[in-house]
Amino acid sequence: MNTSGKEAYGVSATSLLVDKYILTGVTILVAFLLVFFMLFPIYKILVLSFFKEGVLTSENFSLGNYIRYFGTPRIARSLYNSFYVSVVTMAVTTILAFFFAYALTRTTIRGKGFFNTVAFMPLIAPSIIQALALILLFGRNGLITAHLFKVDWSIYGAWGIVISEVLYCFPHALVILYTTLSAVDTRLDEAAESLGASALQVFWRVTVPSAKYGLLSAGALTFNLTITDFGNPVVIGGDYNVLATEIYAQVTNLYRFDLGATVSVILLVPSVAAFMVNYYVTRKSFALISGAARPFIRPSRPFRKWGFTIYCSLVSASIIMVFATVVMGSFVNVWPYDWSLTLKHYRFPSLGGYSAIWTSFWISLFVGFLGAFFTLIAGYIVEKKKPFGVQILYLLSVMPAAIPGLVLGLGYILAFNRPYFFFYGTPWIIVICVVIANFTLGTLSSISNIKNIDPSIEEAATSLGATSISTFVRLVFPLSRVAFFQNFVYFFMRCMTTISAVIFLVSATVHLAAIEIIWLDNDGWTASADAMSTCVIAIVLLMLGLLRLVMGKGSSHVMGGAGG
Amino acid sequence: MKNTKKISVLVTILFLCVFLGGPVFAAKKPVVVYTSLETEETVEYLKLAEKELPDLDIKIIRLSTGELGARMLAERNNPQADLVWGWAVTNMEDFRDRGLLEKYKPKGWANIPDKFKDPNGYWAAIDLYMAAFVLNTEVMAKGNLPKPKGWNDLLNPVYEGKLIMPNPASSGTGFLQVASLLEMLDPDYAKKPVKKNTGWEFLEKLDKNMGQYIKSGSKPAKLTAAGEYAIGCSFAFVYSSLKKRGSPVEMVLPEEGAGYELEANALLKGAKHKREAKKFLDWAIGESAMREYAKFKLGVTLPGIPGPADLPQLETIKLAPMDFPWQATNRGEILVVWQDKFLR
Amino acid sequence: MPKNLRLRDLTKVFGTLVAVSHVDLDVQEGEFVCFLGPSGCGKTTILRMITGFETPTSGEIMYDGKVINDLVPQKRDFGIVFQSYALFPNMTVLENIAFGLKMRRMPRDKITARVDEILNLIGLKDWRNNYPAQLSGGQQQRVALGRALAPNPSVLLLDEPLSALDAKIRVRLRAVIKRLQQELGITMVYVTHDQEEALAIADRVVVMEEGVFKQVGPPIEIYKNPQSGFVADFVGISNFFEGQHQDGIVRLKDTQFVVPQAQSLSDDAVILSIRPEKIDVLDPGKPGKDLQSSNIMNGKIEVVTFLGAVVRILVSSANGEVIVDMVEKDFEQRQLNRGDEVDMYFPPDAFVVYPLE
Repeated sequence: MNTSGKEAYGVSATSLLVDKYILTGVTILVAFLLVFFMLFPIYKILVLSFFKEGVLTSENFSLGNYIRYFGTPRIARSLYNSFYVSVVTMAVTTILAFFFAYALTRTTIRGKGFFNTVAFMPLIAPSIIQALALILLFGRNGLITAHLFKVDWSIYGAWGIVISEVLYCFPHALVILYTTLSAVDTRLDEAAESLGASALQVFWRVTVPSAKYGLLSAGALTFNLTITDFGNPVVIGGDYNVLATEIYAQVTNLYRFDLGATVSVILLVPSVAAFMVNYYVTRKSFALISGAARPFIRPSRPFRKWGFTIYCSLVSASIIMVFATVVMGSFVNVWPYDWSLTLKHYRFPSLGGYSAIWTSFWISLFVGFLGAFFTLIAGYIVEKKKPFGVQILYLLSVMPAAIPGLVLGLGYILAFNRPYFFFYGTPWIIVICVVIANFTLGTLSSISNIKNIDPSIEEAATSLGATSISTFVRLVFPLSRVAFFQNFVYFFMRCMTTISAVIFLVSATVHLAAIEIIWLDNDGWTASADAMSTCVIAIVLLMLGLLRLVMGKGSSHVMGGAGG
Repeated sequence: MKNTKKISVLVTILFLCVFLGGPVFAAKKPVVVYTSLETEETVEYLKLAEKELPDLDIKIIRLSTGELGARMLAERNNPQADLVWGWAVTNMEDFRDRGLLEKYKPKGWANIPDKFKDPNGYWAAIDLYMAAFVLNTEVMAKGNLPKPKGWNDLLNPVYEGKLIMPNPASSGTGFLQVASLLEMLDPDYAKKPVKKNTGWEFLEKLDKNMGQYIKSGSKPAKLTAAGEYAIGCSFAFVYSSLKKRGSPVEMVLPEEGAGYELEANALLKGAKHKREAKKFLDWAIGESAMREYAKFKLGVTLPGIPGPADLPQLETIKLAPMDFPWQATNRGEILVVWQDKFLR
Repeated sequence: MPKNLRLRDLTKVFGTLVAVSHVDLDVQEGEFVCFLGPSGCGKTTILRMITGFETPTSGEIMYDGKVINDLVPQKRDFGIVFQSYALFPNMTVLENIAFGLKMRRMPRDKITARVDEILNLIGLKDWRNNYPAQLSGGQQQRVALGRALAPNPSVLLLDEPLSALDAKIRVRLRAVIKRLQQELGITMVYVTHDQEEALAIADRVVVMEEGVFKQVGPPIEIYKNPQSGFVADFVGISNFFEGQHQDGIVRLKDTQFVVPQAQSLSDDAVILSIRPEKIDVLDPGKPGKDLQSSNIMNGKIEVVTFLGAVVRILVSSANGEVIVDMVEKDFEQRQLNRGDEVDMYFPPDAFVVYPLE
């Protein structure tokens, strides 16, 4: 039996020595990257807003920028405007998404899969396509306003922002509410009904209160997304100034970086607050979800069924309309006069053109891999390794969601535009910025995946002589493959479509497709902006399809076994 | 396991593609150019530049006048660009005073008339572009609107909400329109603070008719061409390109005098590719480049090159008296007053 | 020189909870030691300290004469089998078993040979290319066993390896483990909460409660001679009587027992425990000869439960309910029924006596 002497072979001493420090090393590295690429730029913004010339001395301290902000009614109005559109968007989106989620989880309407797919379409497109489509349909020369109803009304301004933001935020709110409603036990409803409550009473007294955390969380998220968005307000806002566009205007028009920083700080306050509400509420609501109840839904009455079918169809139609309009707008000769088809808008009248799409594509690949990789590591450390100070690492990892992309981008200019930061002006700064800006969701999904890996699996590996690195490479990574590629797609998608985080960072050497869309629209090449959007959507769809193809086969044993 | 291998192979291939297919460094020397020239014309100029400067790898970004300025300011400690090409002289003067430019007199400097270049050699103008109204004839006819002759006619209440002009803060065109009005309407503009200028009263009246102030200088014309507005306060050459594309547009140069702006080139302090930048600047005021500019611009600074055939010749146009040094000094103040008055 | 595993004054504290409190144990090379106790008694914590996944708060773990408290798990050379199997779901049976060998950089051909050897040992030759999810629970645990044995560990640690399996497989696999241990002569430390399993499998059983060892000894010793009420109760089934001891006689509420071995205790309140199978059932009023007449108690059969070879009856008496196990044949012959009156005889030497705590 003892043919293979144990003395002869052993785990290499060097790898064990490395193993001793690797966890600390990696933890410090990840924390350092987050501090350096997230907190440092924000710190620079804070300093610039409170200290003259951004020089940190006591005599330089001044509230002058804030006095100027609040003392100038026009600028101060941007705060009110931002709140106004964000609150309205929050209310509208949450309600719309709640009933949509209700229809998908609590009724027996048909075509749920279709509605579900459609509802998530906005995630694959640059956020401004909502605004682009609305202008084509409801602009001063819009197909519907000027040509169908011949009214002299246009969508520019607060309403334009609200409608495009509702369409943009809808899938985000839906995810949360869908999860909430599927987790709440419907037997509560049935119990109430059996006690003689009317359907309406059940809805208000039981269903809505049981989903209150979900509603709060969806509301907070929508508020945060809207108040930090730059693309939609800049395209459809017209003269309606919000905080994000005000930052851009202060910096680019008046060269007042200090005021831009000040407005950034003012924008940070509500966005961080919304983030904290969301964070707090999410933790609470997880405690409520039992996970046990996966109930059977009684067939809905025809009235209910038809009502909800019509409702979901209307919402889906609005979303499809956005996409159809943009795609169509890119192919017709002159919207809305000459409907003959043409490819001329795809000859981009811009300096970036197709090379911008190509650049976007490969930068997004890098962002996809690095983002998925680092969030997996962060999630692994936070969930499994729990080293000293793990709470700090966790907080750092989820914090980016609280920081508006535009603010982060501005912070990057202020912080890294130095000759010794060699990455400034290269594609790398964009890669880093997008990875950091989307770190939160990546980490959270890594964590929830890694939670599913039986802790004894790692202990088994360790006892068999595996070091942390080989455990990670041979087990944690293969077992998180699905999450890794989901995150890859997420980061890829975000990088292809994000605007606010990178608008300050594109340069003569690096043109990005999403920014080209803004510029094309700015220059009045709306049809080409539509064409560029269509290209971006096509690439994202292609990537989604490709990944599904790769992931589709042979992953069942991984999925089945991971639960232990 | 097999699958994992397949995926890792795929990943490796992808990365290789990225590395190999990415920036392939040829023998070309890079030069980084910032410009505010319209994208449309820039594309054409670049075709010529690439032909005539084959050893340069021209990396270029086009931003609005304001955005470009902000970028150069932000990067002053670590300049990313080597030169700025076709940027409003008002801003040039400002940046010269801020110390962001470097003296360089390109080859052919002597051929440019003195009024089109900085006496100390910081910048040289290449062309002049002019404010103009672009009218949508269909919208005008449908609304039975009278054709305006100049700025004063635009105060007519029939135009309410049907006008669009650029935001002077972000657009050079918008700025030259406002500046020309301030200079034409107040003879004492140079002697009093910007705030007290009597031209603001006119702009306030104009504001009542204004449908929108928009970021870009060309967009008023384009939106007007698309039928969104009746009259767009824009500039001349965008009109000709719209006309060529078949849009129902017409151009009017304000009878009071058309505001104009010079667009100039300069070498940036701290340029990393100075030799290449100089080479480009030499080319950019040379005759072949000027002839190309002249296909778009009303006038170029090299004498003896006629403007585009479809636009009125420069000599026939009544120009507003433009005081560039005053504009440069007071740009910030003008913008603050304008924003406080007109931005909602 | 044999390589012994020793625990010296070992203590583990989590926050304010004392999970393991000052325990000492010597495990001989080749011995099969079983930690037995209810969940939360600290048995798994001890195992995790031996494996190196937990660091002792104080005390020492020694192996082969060396303190190994701070040695990383990879260097301890102990194999571990987990309750949840913890097989690597992304690897085949073969790859699972080879894993530890690969980590030890064994040459490829030797790995192949060793894996074959192990596959024969656990009888899963034909399953080598299957993934764990394609195996039954029992097969999975055999793979886990094989995987842990493959690197030829000096000690095999098993953490409730059978509790996720159903009863029949549990018994069968128990035999497999015992056989492997005897064949390979490997030291095994086994944790379980199943007293039957512990008694069946171990050379020595350690009964634990709330972080301390209540009793350490061979299974028979533990069963026959539990040194505390806890052990008596936890290991097997016992009847307990509370009474007052005086001079070898224990007075109960309604009767008294002669218990000579109680003389070693002082005259005080005591607890008597007796196994159900030790109680004899007599026909009422017919005490057999040679019996200590005082140790007879009258009662009425309340419940009859057939357990196969044994019939368990619950008898109500003046001193409370008593569980009595009878051989099925005997029960049949006597034609006993529910409601019958019986006399029960409690042999004096069958009692285990503890002072009332």
